Amino acid sequence: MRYHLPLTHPLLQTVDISVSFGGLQILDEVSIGIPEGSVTGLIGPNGAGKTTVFNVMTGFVKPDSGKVKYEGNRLRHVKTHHLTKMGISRTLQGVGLFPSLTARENVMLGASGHVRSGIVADALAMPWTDAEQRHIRDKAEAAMAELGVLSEADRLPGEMPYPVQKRVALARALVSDPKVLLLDEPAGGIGAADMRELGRLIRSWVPERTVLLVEHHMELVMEVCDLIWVLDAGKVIAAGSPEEVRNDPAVLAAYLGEDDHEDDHEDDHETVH
Amino acid sequence: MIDFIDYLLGGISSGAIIALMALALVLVWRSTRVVNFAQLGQAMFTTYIALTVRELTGSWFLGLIIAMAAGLVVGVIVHFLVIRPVKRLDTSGAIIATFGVLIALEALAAMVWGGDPEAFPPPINNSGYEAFGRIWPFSPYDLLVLASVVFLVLALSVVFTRTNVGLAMRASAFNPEVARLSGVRVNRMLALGWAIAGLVGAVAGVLVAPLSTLSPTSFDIFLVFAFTAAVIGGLDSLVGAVAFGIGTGLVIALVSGYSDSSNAPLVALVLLVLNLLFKPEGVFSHHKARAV
Repeated sequence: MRYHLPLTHPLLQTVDISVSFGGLQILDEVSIGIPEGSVTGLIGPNGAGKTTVFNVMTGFVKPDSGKVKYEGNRLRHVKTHHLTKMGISRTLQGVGLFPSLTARENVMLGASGHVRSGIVADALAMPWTDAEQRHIRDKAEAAMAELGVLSEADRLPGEMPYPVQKRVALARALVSDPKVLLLDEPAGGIGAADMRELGRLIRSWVPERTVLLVEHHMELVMEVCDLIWVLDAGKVIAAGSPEEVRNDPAVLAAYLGEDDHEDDHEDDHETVH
Repeated sequence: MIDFIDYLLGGISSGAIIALMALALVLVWRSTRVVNFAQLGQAMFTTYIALTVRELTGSWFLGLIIAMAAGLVVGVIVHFLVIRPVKRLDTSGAIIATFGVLIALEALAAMVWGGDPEAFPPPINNSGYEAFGRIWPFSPYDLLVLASVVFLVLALSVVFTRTNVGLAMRASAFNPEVARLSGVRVNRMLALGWAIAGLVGAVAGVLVAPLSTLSPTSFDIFLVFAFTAAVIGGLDSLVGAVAFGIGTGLVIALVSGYSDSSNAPLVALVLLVLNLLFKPEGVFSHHKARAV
């Protein structure tokens, strides 16, 4: 069964995306849309294909069929390094920071797509590239300030606690001033207080920015999302408001399916005893 | 004792040149994880170009500049024509392919310039300074070599640590996927790594030619020294390449002085084996210290 939801203004959407690796169907005609100015969640049991959706959107994976549309136009041959210039920014599971670069350098890198001066001029440290360098530095520091990590600017990622590294990674995603933020498990490995703070932060970005969130922590997803898509085994099985999704029998079955499995296991155990 | 000092002094400029060669190997390794065995073949080729320019114009300096430009171009050509297509299939294939490039360049040079060794005289006086009533094995040319190497290394470190391009190159080398997501044009940065390596190698070639002779294979021996220095330095550390390049030059000078210069490659290989036995990740590897 295919799930279609009438969307008035999808800023970013996939249309009937299918992906398979080595005969395994990872995504099966997945169509999801992210309304402009919303926080949209993408959830599902492990292996449902959530990260693959991100990978298709960011050009890491070429779909077998289907298309990605951004601002109403089809994105053909998504070039990953063009994304930030187009206003699309993505964070990765974990942190994905460069360990030998300081926090500031890591964040400055996020603005690479906006560097205009040429390689030669930059290498020769021409005056106009100095001005550009300063501009990017200022932007990086503003983004770090927004996330409360400016004091860490000169430290290496390995010297910071994990939640702080996650914030630096978010600052890097923000520095290109994106219209769309694709966040892959931003709450992974952080505590309850940091998670509440993250929730407030994500809400503070909309409606100026649009957010697509892949996340395992259901409390966070239910709290911040306007719209939630549910994937299971590569198919969209439900979509709607947090309330609708929470009470959707298909969603309950998908998640309970995981639990059932564990229950079966326990039953086996009992019969043995 | 005075012998010891003489040998060390005599080894400084060749050490500095080996440092440049090791630097070129490291730049390529950092960008594409390939050991470029053709690096000194490229340097040999651009040094022939420098020789031709010099014979036509009479200017050593113009020869150097043209050789540097040629080094950039040859680096980019080798990357796009050979390494990128082969690497798409297999990384170790790309390393073997650099041997192919080396052989091709040596053959091409022999066809264009002939196989006989050519003299490449130094542009300035290469006889040692006189002081305290004796002649020391350190000449104005050695000073020029040292100054050029120091200037180039400083310029590179500024590019790598203070510019957007340097940042983007370091990011591309470490994690291409994340670099792309950050908006870095990774393929361009990898090509730039090969280009800069070609330029650095070209400078090394022009500087080293007066210390030996120039023939299609006369730089081959330096590959052993440069490779040793680069590996001991950790292969991805620019600082390590420079430090151990100079170190290797000094060790070779001592070995050549106290025994015979034909023992130098053997000593380099012994150093390499010791390094691989006791510190295989390299002395300046980024696993331990922060590499520039």
